[in-house]
Amino acid sequence: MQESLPVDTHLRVALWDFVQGILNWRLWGFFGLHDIRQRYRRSSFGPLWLALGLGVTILGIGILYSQILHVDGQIFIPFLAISLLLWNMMSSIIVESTTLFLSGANVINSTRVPYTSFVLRGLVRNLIVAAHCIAPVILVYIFYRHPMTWIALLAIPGFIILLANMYWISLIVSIICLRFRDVGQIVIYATQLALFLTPIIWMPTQVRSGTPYIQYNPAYHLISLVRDPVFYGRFPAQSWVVSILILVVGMALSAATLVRFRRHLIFWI
Amino acid sequence: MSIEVNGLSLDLPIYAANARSLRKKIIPTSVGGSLFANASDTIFVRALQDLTFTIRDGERVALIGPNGAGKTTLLKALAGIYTPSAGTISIRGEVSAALNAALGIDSEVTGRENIYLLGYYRGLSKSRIEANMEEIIATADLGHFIDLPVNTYSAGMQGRLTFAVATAFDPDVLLMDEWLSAGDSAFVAKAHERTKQFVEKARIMVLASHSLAIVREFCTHCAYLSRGRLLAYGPAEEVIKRYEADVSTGA
Repeated sequence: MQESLPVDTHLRVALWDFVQGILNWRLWGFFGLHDIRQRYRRSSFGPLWLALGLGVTILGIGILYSQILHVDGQIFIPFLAISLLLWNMMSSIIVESTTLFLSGANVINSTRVPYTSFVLRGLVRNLIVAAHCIAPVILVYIFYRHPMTWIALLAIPGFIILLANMYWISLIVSIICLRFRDVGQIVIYATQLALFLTPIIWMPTQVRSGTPYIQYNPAYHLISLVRDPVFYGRFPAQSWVVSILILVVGMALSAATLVRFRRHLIFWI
Repeated sequence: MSIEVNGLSLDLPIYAANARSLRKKIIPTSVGGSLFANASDTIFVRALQDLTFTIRDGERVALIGPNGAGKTTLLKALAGIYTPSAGTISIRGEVSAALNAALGIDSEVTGRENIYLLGYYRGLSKSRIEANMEEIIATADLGHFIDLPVNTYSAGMQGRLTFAVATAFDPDVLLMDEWLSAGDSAFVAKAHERTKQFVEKARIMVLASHSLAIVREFCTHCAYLSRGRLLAYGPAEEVIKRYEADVSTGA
């Protein structure tokens, strides 16, 4: 009795969800901003604390680890700065996804909203945070006089592909963690672990080339989309290929998950 | 505008661990839908069973029935919050679901800013909200409190604010779960008039209510639901008589 509706109904609803989510970007953008304002209301510095926090972390880890890893601070600290900026955004999106629909339970139970709108709202939230955190990164690059070329502009399309990937990851994590509450814990631990297993606080040149921690690490490729043009001044062709492949497969997978399970989501809250 | 419901059924799954033990005994009860287990061993509540009716332009339909009959569930299904398990719902017209009037309230910002928030959650654009801003503030009648944070309001004042926003816009198809009571006696008289105007602006209204007085005042038709089934659908007075007859015989 559950599956007596034709599949194309499920497809149509999932398509509506995806399209409406994107069409109403102004609305979800506003709510993303509203979420940030709510978070930092009645605090004096507000989100600037995030920028401060990142700056302190970069200096703290940077100075210490450049000694541990025997890499010159001049090179390591700018590397760390851009890596941490990107990783903080990515891990925050993933961790927030584990309770994304739960925090929107009130809305979901009261009115018809596209589930993808919550994903977009989360992306906007984290983009705003990342925008605040760019400041310490820029300061680091200026301070160390890091050589920048025009190739750095290729980071922009790279960032767009990175965000597109975060969209489907956020969607699928949200759905799975809504159904199986334990998976949220697993995702959080996996994200913490990934920080160490991915070249973020260590440089890729320090392990033998072709190691699986780099080659088969999707986080590495996603970060390289933006990091390579900015830090290394080179175009990461291989990472682009991998990232677009991940994007296509990931979008298809999350679309299929949405089509199959969208009708059940409200019962899982 | 029209709403066509055909063979609508809705099963709500129960994921609670102790639902397993309920499987051993299917208890007929006077509230709620019927419980049963499907082949894969999940317990379901059949909240709505095979509903068929049509609502035409200009009709205002009340959903009446005992507790747990499926009134709110039907409203949610019409709103698109629940996907039917079987059957179809065809709605021509834009649906405005006023099921939870306080949806979107942020108690730490001012009443004025909350008007924007409440409007945005109803899918309204900034320009549309601003066009109606003065009218909303006048209706809410909160004086200078409109520019103070909502957490300084009493519950009644909050109710007036949400009521003013919810009734400010012209809906095509309006779905309401009964919440029309808010505020002190001075406000109630005003609210009554405003509700009347608002309801008449809607092309179609579906309202769940326990108050037969409200039903008689605002509604043209009634749907009498009990245990997930549609027992009667027709002009308000007829169906109300049937409902009252059932209540008095203790059915």
